[in-house]
Amino acid sequence: MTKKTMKQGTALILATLLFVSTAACSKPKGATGGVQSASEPAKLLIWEMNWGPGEKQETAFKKLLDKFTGENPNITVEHQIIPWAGYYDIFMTAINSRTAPDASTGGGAQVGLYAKMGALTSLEPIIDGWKAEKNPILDDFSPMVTDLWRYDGDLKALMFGSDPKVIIYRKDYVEQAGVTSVPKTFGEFADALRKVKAKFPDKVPLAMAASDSTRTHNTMLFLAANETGFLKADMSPNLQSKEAQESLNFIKLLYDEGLISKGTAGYTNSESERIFMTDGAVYVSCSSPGALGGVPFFDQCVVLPPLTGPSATKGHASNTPNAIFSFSNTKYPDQARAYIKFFMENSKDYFIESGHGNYPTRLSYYKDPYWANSPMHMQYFEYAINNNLPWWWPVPEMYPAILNISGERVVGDALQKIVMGMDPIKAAAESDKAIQEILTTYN
Amino acid sequence: MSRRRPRKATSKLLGYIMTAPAILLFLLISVYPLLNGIILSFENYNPVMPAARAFVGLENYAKLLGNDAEFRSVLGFSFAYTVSVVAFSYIMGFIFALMLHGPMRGRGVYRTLLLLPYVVAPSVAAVNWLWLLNDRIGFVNHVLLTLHIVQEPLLFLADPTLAKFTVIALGTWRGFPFMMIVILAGLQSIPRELYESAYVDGAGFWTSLRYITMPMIRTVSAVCIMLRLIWTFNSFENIYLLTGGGPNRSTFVLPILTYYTGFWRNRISYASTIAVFMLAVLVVFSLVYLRLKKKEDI
Repeated sequence: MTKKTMKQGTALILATLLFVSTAACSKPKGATGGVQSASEPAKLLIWEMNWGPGEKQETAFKKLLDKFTGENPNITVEHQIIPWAGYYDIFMTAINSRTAPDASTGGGAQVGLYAKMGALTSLEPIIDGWKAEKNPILDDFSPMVTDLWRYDGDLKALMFGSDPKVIIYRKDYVEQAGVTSVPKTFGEFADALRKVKAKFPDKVPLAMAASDSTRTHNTMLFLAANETGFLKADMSPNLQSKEAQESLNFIKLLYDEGLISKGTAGYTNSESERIFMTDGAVYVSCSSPGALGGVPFFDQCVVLPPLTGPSATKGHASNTPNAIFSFSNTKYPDQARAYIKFFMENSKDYFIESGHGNYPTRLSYYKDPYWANSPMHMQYFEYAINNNLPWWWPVPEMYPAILNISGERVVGDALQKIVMGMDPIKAAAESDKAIQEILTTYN
Repeated sequence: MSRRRPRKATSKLLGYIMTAPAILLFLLISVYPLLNGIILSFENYNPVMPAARAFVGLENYAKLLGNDAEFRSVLGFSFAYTVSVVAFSYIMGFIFALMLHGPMRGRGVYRTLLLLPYVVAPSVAAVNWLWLLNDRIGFVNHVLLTLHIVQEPLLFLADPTLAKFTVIALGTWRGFPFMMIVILAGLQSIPRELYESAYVDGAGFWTSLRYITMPMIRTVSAVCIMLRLIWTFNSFENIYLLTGGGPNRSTFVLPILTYYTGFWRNRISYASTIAVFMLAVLVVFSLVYLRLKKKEDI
């Protein structure tokens, strides 16, 4: 055998191996396998959304998974922290290629769409298990946790966390401005902002974002305060209604009187927070203790109780419930549910150690000193966790179109246009039209 | 002769076998998505409702080119953005290339500094510009107000018209270093004797620029302009990271519209139609580029 022939033979073998290995790598993860016992060996792929500061969350989540695999030695886990940027396409691509993870957390708005696509597996056995165990956990959940994402009677996701949207303010500046009582209504809040503006003309009275997805949350913050939503309960668009117009007109008033910055339409949430954190604003909307934790005046930061709009009997915080679910392409549905059950039962340390952006739905967790000894956390608990409306309220059930409504930011578009000077009626009409178009697509 | 033929045939076969994995990979990751995208543009595929998938012929194209006002508006700005960014990038790149071409101390340092906009990560650049352009805490407005150039802060990213100029300016900022480097290479390839002869004949800077420099870098300029046209027309991240296409969708360009249509609106087929349209435009740019490249090679 000549040297050249040997080289050619080796190359041929290598090429064949490369081809075969490529083919092997591209083998799909597989369709739904047979239901297996949670005690049988399994390798789970878990996705966890980026809920907190990168490394901190990674370490805390790894600790949670280690505990899970320690208690379930037959299960091995591979995990990935998924960034919010591009999450929609990441999930949709995974679902359509049947390579979605065995379990994942995600935004609540994702659940309706994935459930409609038949991409989620039932979590009913978890509830049945807790009932069979007479597990007190069922009494420890805040409302909606086990019922929010039920479709045709089947539970598709559990609510593990809440991300309520509130306004936070600088107590010291507000007192110096002569605001003697906590504003409760839109009118009182406008008066407080006027006093702040008069006392501190160089500061933005209320820092607010209207550029990124936060514009939707800011719109919902003022709609929930007036006990209304962007849809009616019958799922017809509602932004032109009297109640929604009262909220949108209030935003217009804030803009016209310079109580929010003229540049609000271009602000992302991190920018409005930055203005507040660099001592440039007195109130900030849609921020959180996690984001403000490092500021030197943190002890002066206070949560404003939800305002009560003119048509509301009681104002509420707007909540963004977040979910944990399992995909139906999993080969190990029982093990995936075992993980979700474990997560719901044991995530207290993870919440604390990860710098998590959510508030837990386990009420007993709030007795832990981490929350109990923090005035701002307890204000969140009192004002928002115990008094909120999910952002799709008053529609009773999560519907698939909400993910598109959220993604296209058509609700928040109304706010953005108003803070660019547009009349609230026109802005609402345009958003209502866009919302109706999305709803029609799904019907 | 009779013994060499089979060996040649074997060698040829081996060549095919050796290149087969690469060809397969190329077909899989490049040709298949392209063909699939074109096929999708003739369907009504929505990943949420896969069962309703059907062939719709030219319906998507008819709608896109017929009565899609949003597409027309975005197309207009896409062209305006592309042409403006490329034109301003070229002018800036040319000026800086001329400066760097002349004798100067610390040329390497200047060249490195001027390359920074091109090498900095788009996400980092976007975050920094967001802060620099902020109307309340931004450095740019602070300088403008302090120097009394403006009386009120400029709403760079909140005013729809100003936002368009802002994204064009930042596109130019990111794009000019490439132009500069390519033009500089072109300038350095011009024989010095030509300038010396012209000088002897009494030609000044402007005359040399017009009759020596410009003609000598014409081909290289055309090539870098075409490349930049292709990249800018196809660019997504520069605008998306800065404005997300806003305010009020005033800075939407075709790649952002495609992304929104495909993913947020779940209209994969319609998004594919927009993408195929973009592909057609880019093919035209590419053909011009290849023609110029051929000319340059000759």
